Amino acid sequence: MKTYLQAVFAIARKDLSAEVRSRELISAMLVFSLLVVLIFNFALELDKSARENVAAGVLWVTFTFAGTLGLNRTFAAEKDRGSLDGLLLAPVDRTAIYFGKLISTLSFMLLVEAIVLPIFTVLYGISLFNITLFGVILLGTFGYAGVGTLLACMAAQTRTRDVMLPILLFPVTVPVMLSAVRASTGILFNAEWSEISMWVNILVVYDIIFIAVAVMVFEYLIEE
Amino acid sequence: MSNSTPKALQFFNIASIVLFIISLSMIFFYAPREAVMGEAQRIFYYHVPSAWVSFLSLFIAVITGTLVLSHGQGNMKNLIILTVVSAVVAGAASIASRVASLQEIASGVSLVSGTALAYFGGLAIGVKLNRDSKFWDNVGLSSVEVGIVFAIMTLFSGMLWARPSWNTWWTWDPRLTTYAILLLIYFAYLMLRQGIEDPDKRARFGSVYGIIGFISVPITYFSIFLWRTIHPAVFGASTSDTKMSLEPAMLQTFIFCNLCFIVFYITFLWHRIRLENNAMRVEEMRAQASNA
Repeated sequence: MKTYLQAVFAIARKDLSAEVRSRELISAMLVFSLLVVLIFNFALELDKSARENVAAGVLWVTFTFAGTLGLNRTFAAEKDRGSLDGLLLAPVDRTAIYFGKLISTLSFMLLVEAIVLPIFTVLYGISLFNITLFGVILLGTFGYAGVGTLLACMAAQTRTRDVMLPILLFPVTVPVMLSAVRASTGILFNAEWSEISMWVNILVVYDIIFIAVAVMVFEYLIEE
Repeated sequence: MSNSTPKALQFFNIASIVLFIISLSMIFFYAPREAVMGEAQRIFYYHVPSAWVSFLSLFIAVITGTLVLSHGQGNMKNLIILTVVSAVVAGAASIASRVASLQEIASGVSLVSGTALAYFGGLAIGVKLNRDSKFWDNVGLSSVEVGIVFAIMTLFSGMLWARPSWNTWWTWDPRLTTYAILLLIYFAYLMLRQGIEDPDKRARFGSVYGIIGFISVPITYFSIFLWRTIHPAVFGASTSDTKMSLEPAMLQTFIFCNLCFIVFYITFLWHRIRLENNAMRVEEMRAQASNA
């Protein structure tokens, strides 16, 4: 167990250190998120009340698109540099690679979200500083990154690499998007917990089911 | 090696044509005109079986996907135990659902255990047949393609029915939305397969995505259903309120059409599997010829 966890954190640390040195991915994801927020500003002609209604939706669309960038990079870089073989040679269960990649992708997405949230608050005039909202964002990002890491592993090995991931990912993560947006909207409008809790339940169930499935099938995807 | 159509498939070809003619005759001449929706309701006899068969074919893709990943092997004893346990649970749950207070939970349990029964039973049969990954991948791909065809037919027939009934081609109600997402998942499946050259990898990835796609469908349906029941349908008629009065003649026609569609499915699936086998043989011969 100890070696397993060591392997997981070693892989996560590797990706995080690489990113700290180059800062390519975070800056790309950040700039992309801001551009998406900007485009929505022009695309949807919104008065104050309409803005409040769609804020959660715009936020999650931003996270989704930026997340796709991060997920693409997770395995594509490994494949290009040939370091995937190095990972496969490690004498540890394959799922350690999955969790290591999941942790690093999750960290990138959460970091970008942490930066986008205050900017979004300023641009949309809605306070997004709410512990429950942070919890929902964490759950949603976890589910999205969980399935995304699995599918990114597949997409990185196809010909149409970057384009393939959104095509594979978006239909399958509809429950996450829907539940996260509904829960976030409920929180922003100070709805009853009973209304928000069912969406949180769906997020939790989705996360559990799909992480479990990912753990079961990941080894079939990464072997040459 | 002779490649002529096997006798059984010839039988299925003829059976499909005959059943098609009989089912159409039943739909137009035997089934009575429905009270509320009129003649347009007759689309129901092809629309619903088409949908059910599309789900069946995608479920079969999940079973074949599992067999691809396990290389057609499996612990027969464990599979039979799981099948029997699922059957017992499903039976008990369906009996329990007669009790009013338990109805909701029991029907949920019977649905899940019924699916488990079909899944493990299918796996047991698959392991018994003792075929390799390539065979099961072939069946899975063919099943998904045929399933997509039936799904597109379902969507189009649904739209043709929706226009006279609800005065709109489309609504975003839970069933339609989930079904559209299902279709997109399976288009993604085909695109994924097209992007991979190595056949073994293609088989593995296809299987995994087929399984993930299928699992996501009930969760998607449930979340959209929850969303729509809280915010009542704003887009015209609430489709879940559409009730149909089913007379015996209609029920008989409906069940008969379901059986017809299963025959159509088997026919199409078999032809598609044979097509894929022939394509693989051509590839092998081409490779041999270029090596020689």
